[in-house]
Amino acid sequence: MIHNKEVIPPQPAPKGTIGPIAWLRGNLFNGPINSLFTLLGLYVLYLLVVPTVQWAFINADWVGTSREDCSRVGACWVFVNARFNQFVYGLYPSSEYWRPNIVFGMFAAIIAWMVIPRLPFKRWVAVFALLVFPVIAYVLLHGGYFDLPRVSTHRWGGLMLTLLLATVGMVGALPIGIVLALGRRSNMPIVKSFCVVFIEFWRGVPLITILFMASVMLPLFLPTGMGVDRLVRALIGLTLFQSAYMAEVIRGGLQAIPKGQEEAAAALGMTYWKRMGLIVMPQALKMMIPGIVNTFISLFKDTTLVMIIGLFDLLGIVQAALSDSRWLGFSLEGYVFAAFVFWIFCFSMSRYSQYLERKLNTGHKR
Amino acid sequence: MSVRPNVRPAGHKPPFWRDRAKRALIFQLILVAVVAAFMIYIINNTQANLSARGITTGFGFLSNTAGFGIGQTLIEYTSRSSYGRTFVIGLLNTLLVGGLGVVAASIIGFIVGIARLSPNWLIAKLANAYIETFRNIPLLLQIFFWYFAVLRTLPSARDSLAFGEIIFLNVRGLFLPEPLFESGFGLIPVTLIAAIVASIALIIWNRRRHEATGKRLPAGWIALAMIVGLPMLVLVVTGVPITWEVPVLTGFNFRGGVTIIPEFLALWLALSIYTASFIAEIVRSGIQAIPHGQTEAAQALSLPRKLVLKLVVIPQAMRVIIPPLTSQYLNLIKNSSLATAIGYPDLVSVFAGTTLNQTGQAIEVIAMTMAVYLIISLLVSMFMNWFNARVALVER
Amino acid sequence: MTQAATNASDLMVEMRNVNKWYGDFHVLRDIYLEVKRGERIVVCGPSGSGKSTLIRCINHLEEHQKGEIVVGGIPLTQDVKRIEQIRRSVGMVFQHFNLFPHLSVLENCCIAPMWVQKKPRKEAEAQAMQYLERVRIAEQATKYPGQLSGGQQQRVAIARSLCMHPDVMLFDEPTSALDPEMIKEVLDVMVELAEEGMTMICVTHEMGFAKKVADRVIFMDQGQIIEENAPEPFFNDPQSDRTKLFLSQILGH
Repeated sequence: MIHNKEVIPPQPAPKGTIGPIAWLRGNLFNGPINSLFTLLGLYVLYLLVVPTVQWAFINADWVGTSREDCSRVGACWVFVNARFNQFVYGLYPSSEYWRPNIVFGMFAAIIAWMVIPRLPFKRWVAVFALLVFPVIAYVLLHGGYFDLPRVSTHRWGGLMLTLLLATVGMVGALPIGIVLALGRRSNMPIVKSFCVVFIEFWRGVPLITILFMASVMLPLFLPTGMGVDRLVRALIGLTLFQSAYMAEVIRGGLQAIPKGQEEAAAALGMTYWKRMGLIVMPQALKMMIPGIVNTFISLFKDTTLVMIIGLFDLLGIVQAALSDSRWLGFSLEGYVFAAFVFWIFCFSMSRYSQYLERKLNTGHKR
Repeated sequence: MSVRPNVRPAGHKPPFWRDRAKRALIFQLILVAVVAAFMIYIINNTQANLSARGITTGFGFLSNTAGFGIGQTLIEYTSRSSYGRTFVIGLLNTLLVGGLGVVAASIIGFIVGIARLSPNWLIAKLANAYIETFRNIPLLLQIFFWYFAVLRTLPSARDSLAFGEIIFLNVRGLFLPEPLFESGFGLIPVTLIAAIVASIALIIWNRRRHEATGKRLPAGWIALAMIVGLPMLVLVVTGVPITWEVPVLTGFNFRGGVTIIPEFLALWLALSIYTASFIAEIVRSGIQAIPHGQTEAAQALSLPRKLVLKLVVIPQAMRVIIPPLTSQYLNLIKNSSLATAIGYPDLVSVFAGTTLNQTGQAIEVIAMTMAVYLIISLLVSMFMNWFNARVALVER
Repeated sequence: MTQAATNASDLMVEMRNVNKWYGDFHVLRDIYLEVKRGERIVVCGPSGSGKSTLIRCINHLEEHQKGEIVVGGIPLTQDVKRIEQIRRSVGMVFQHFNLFPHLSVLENCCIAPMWVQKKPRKEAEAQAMQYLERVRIAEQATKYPGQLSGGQQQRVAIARSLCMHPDVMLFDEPTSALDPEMIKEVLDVMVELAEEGMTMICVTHEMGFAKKVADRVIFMDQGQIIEENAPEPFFNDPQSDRTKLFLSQILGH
């Protein structure tokens, strides 16, 4: 008994099941409760978006040099405009702006090279970024070599300082984190317990107490008369703090590598460091990247805490500008600008880490 | 100490530097020696530095008079109290903002996380916008925003924003009416406790009855009605034995009522909103971690939607949600230390800030402060281990 | 239960002109299917032919957009109460078992009787043990699904469905996630069930099972029923070219 001799050609879906109207009905107005929620959502959206747009764009003042140019009906971006260079470079002398600009440019180029999948020689760029770039950046920013005038660290600030704290903290934390993670997996009891205590200590206390410790206690720990730059103290605190979180990410990545990999390497006669360096780490590192990016985002946001110990990162310099008597009352503009800058950085990084995670997941399924 | 069981073929004894166990031992001894040397170096330096500055170590300073005032104190405190007392005041303030922050962040986080999975496209997108906005802006910036850009720009006490002439919001904080209990009010807490006990009894009885006969009452709703309704009923019957002390404007400020300082409000708002964005993500991924097959199987067994959630989805999702959730709670408590930036008198602010500056006892003060956070972390991770051991899914 | 009724009014499942789309994609095209009480149907076809979707429409795990489905005399509509009523009389076994991992085997079997049929726990447990006995897994009752092999899990899933005394059982590729040595233990249980007169609709590639128990074999391709016949003529004398091709591929290896 044959049911259908003829092949039934595919027919278009009945009206009302696809298309924009059906989409609206299916996603926004399916049922009375959902319709109510949709209307409520629209109302909330209206309450939020309309005044914000009016304040930030329609009624805003964009050009001018002083507070007299502000109508005060909407946002006064004149304030941000007037202070823009400070927000980016801190108190860095304006005649030397080209120096941080070169460092910014190189930094952006390195990041772009590492992130765009098609570009070759990633390994060499990474080596350059980790070994050569810090030297160039230090020489350029700090000066004192090659006839470059010295710019002492207390004049560094703004977005430049934020980026510097975050990247140095991150790059410094990576090797410490790797050692701690390997130590925590070790079967030597003293090494293991040492690493566990170290990691859990830094993870258990708030960053602010670590920064206090770095700024108040560190000078006590060093020989009398040996002063440490305030910026360096903050960097030590941030690096130790970050290394503990990094160690946990790396440990997670190491655990994801099947035990067979290490066994196979051992069966080939490799020593511990060869097994780790040639077989386990390269595989684990790839799986850790999303986690590393996520801890980097946290670190990036946490760098704002250095203003509490007297450094002028982006938030610190905005806060300082707000107490300028010529510009009192523009806190909203200042915070919105700073929030926008932080948001752009963090959001794009989190999108990148999500993209990597998706890529990794599909790679595994294949 | 031997690290691995030593099984050696007889007659072969490698030189000690090639023996695995000995190698591990030597390596560890070197590590201990290096760490010990480092510690001794630091301790020596510190002692030299302290004696150069004329600071004596020890915890004797805790009984000295503090001599400064604190804006929010949960227990009695005057500027004549001791530094030990400031420590307790700070700790209590930390726990207060931490505890209330945990409650608010959980409520917002669960609502937003569930909204994120709503079949309603607009609601899901709004929830997503909330998450992406607040978790990508530094917490300190959010605290500053609420404090300096919102609460500090409120009108002065004379031009307070009034809500029904009993609640006032101004630059000095939020002023709420304070309930004053008259005689006869004692019955209400008694009724409340009785209602709670009765509710628990009802729920247990209902469960037993369900097991025994298969019949069930909507016990949760009845319990809710009892807990809310019975005290209300008693309240009305006894003629409402409460008077509210409404804050009154006298001179430049309000008197009477309960005052919530703006520092607390700013910190609490920022902590709750920021942490809620992370909790929402945890809730979303926890629910999404339950395979769709579980819901389908429950539906195929003809369980109604409410029971699918209650019996299948929520018990499994909670296992996934609770471990990262507790670490968010821990983060919230640690982040409450940012109070110091706006002057909310938490532990770090009054103890590691003011007390440290006044006494110069950096080591003792920082050590005590860190110890508090470490103990909290330790307690929470002990809870976590216990919880994980209890609810872990049994696998082969 | 053994009365093999041939009465036309005793239809368990009726599908008339059922059509379904996923967005623009036409997955089910003009499906007509009638299943009588006690009948055993095997549905086969290449992957993506819509056979799983077909049986998932019967208990409304998937929604059809056009046509009519009547289960046990109850027309399937959007009415939630009706959907639950139909699901009570339709048992389903999934490819990936979908046991609840946080509940023990016994609790998996008791959950629906206790909460839907409102049976006392003792009664539900006694009945669950009876069915677990029948699928030969009673000794594992206190274990959790994660501790069982795939074949054992699938037998528990069958027992779990039977605890609701369904009139029809749907099997959605119940053996295709199993190792070869476990397929037999599940098929044996299914054969016994068939011999006891259970109405069954099975999506499966186990042609041996089809030959042994099926009253009718249905072949689907591209969302439509191509051929429908008793197993003997279906396997020995397939009518359509597509059926021939499919059978040669599946039996040829």
